[in-house]
Amino acid sequence: MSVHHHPESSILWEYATGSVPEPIGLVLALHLSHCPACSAAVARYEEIGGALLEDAVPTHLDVEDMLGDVLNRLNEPDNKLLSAAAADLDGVPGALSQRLPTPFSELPWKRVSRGVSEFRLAIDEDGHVAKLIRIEASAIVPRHTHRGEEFTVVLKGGFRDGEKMYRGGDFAVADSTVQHNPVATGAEPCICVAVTNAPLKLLTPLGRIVEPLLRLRNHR
Amino acid sequence: MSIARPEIAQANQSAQYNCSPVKGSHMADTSEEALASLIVKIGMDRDRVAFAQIFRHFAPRIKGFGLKQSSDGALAEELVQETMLAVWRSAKTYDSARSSAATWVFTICRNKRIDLFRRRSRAEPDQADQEWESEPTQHRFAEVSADFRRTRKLMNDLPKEQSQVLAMSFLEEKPHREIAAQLGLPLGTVKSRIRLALTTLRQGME
Repeated sequence: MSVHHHPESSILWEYATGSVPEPIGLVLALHLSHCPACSAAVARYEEIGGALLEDAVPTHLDVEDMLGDVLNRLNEPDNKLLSAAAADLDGVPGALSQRLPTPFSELPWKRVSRGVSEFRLAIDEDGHVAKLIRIEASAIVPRHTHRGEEFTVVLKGGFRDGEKMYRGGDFAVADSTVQHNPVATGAEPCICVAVTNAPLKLLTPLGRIVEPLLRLRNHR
Repeated sequence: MSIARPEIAQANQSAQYNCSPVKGSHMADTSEEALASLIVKIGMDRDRVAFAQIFRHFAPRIKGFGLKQSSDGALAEELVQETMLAVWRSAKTYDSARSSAATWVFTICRNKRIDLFRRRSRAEPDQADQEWESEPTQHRFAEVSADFRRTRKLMNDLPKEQSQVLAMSFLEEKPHREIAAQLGLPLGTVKSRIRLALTTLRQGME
């Protein structure tokens, strides 16, 4: 399965240097698992990071003093950071399952509209919100635009947006210049992770009535 | 300074730890190859003398990296300690055929900075999914070092306006829009300068 839609270099650079909010890091990691080209780009950017570190003017530091302290701590037990994980038995990527409150199959999905449901992850950072989106086969997401930006990665199935097809691993960006109503294609539900930094703006007649209420509920 | 630490005293006799057979200097050898060899030694032998040398080289640089992000000196020093402890613990996983020592230390430092400064964890791609990684890489140790040197030279040769935004986004963890505000530039200009810099570097590295 080859991936056709990729993040641009400036956001991969921010990921490589540790500057993206956690929700953006999540969708990028989910794309990178399927994309050798972007993974190679991140590796090159990490090399640039190494070069920047190497050429950083050393700051004054009592090196011997601190070295002594650290040598005393070498036998300490390790309080491990969340490290890279493998996908679980159901194929849920490690970066995602580590950030879910329950196993994926037990998530309490919330209906958004006919055939579309979502689950909001608890990893908000810097105004960025991440949601799992599930679109049943052939269901259509109500026509909308975005006040800010939306970054989406497809985990399963696929959707069509205008003339573009997005499948597993593909990375999509939408903003206020885009008006769209994505349609799930294929026989299975389409599962994505979508990150937004501002509320959606529904464009359907019903949406104009309902949307202020949804906005209150969904993007606080 | 304590004089009871044999590994510190030993490391001060740096001539015998000159890892490069070519260089004859009496200063500790901090060439890319030497640093990589030291990390391998830490991983294989739990070599504290090697660790002390790596520490001396990277600690001031890591502190500088931490200070650019936050003016909190104590937090920056915590970043140094936590990074170097992680270097000690994970040295076995360092692959000198895949990345230079500085790149590897940088990735550890980056992850620790996210942990300490933002209390977050970095999302990583799945290990198992990356089937292409399990192929033996064409890179060998010597190529990695040469590539790294070339990267450093290419960065020195970048136009100043490009290296400036690259360094700002690297060191200060500012989103692009904040860099734009600080420099008085349109957001699009900041993004395109970063893209240009990365393209120049990528083309030079191929």
